[in-house]
Amino acid sequence: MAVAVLLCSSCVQQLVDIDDVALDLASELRGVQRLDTAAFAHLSGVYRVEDGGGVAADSVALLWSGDEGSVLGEANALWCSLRGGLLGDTVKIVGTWRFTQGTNIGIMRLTVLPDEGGTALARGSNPGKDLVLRGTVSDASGGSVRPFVMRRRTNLRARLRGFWVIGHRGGARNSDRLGVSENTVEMIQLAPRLGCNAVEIDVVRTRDGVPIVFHDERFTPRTVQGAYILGLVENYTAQQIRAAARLVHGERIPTLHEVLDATMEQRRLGLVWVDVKQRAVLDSVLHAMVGAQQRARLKGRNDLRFLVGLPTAEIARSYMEHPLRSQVEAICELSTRWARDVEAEVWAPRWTAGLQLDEVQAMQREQRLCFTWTLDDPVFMNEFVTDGEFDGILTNYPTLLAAKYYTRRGRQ
Amino acid sequence: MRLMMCVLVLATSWCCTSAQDSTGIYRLRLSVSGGYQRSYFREQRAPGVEGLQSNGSSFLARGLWHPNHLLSVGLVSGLVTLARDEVAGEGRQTVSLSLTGIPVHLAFAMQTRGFQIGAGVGGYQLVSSTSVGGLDKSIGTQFELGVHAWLAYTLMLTERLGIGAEVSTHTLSYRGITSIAPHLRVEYVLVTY
Repeated sequence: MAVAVLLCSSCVQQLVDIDDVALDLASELRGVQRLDTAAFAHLSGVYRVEDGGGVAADSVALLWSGDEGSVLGEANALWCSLRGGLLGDTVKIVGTWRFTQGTNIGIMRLTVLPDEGGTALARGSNPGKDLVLRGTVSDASGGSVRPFVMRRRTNLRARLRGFWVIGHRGGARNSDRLGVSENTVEMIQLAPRLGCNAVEIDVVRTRDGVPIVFHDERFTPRTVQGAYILGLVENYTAQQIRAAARLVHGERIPTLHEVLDATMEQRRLGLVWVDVKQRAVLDSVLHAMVGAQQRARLKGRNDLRFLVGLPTAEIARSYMEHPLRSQVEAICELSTRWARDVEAEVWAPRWTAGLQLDEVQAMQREQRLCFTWTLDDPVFMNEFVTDGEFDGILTNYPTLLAAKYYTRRGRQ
Repeated sequence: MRLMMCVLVLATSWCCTSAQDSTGIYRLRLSVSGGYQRSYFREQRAPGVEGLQSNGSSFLARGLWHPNHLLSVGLVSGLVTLARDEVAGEGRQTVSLSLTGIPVHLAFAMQTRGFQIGAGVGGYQLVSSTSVGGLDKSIGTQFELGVHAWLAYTLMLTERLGIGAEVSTHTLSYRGITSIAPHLRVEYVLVTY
């Protein structure tokens, strides 16, 4: 028995975050200049993979903004976190690749040579389908180097219009090992690079009534470091939590106010789904959201929508009776009847209820958006993207969903 | 953890192959032990706290039924102070923190010639106290699975009463806490039949 325990414990694979690779970005990108806005818009697109190096197959999407970007691939649920810019007439890109539904990680190095689009990008013009990213992928230690080549197929920008890729818990969960904790300001900053154009966040209440962004009703080692903060969240005041606990990657547990402000800074996010985990927190959530809407308007973010999630009948009833109801849009996670009763702007059934084409079309005729949650299975995700009529999907794997949506052929 | 398992396996094997303790008498033994405890934490205990080790104390009580062979079985409980710290809060206030555990374990032990080796499996009711400026106090509780093991020597002063020393360990693997505690112990044979 004891020997079996010893053997089993020896076989457990150590999981690593995506940043745990042998890569010194600062030295690799020394002298590289940031791409201008026009150039990174041209760099973004859907690419045909000519040589995937065992990492990618068929098509991938490249999202680029400023000096950083992402490659999203459907095969292996690929996500590459990249940085780079111009070095003369050559674009140099370095970063990490990762199978988000697996444990494989490694290093990616790409260049756009002058005659393969580099010169055009340096001048801020569109190289069109002549744009080729060529380089290598390797494993996390830098070994096992394989060639990687991808050629641009189409423009990306118009593709996601009208569809919401909604990242669960601010973008991804702790278990996805992105080096950033779920439901944090840092995760909100990462979310657009994961392919999200919307995020869902979870709100619970401290003992002194402060709404904090946290998924569980209890503190556990899954979510927090710190020996002293344990058990029910509502046992502690916000000050005690700030003093004695940090999230698993060292971040402070943020207030709702802090996270809503962070979403305003992410121009590629257009919608925030604030999921209310307890009825007691609804009042403070609605007040915080009204305040956030005002601050967003002052910052010129009239395009950013804040919607409160109503997951239970009890919370939906409280919302209906609340004086701020008319000022805060709602996502009803209950039946279509409830969605009509609470006059929700979005109806969001669980994905296991199926495509529900008739109900979705009926809701859309009433000018409601339809989202579904929380869809992680690649096969069903495919079905919902190709055959469904939903306006958005909440997922723990926004990289996979965005890759499926961007790289799908046919219906646009 | 692996080292502890190896020690247990080796010690159990040694107990089995060495002396026989079959006297034809059934006993119910009570023992209490207490003393210093040193705890090791996998992660920083709180923001601003340096080091991963902490000093504390613990007290354990065991009731073991010892039938007519080497193995005895029983229950263990007690109070284990895992850590105490003070960190700076907002507005120059001090935040006082403490973490204690109440073990509730099913225990198995083997004994011969005054030596006893045992292990307990079960849970710890963790109780955390957090107070700001000595006033605003919060208590958090959480039940966690854990194991403890001990190695003891008892010198019987009379037929029923003995004193001795023991080294015990506590492991809460999910919480990343391991403790080692050198204790003094008192043992009393409550019932003999």
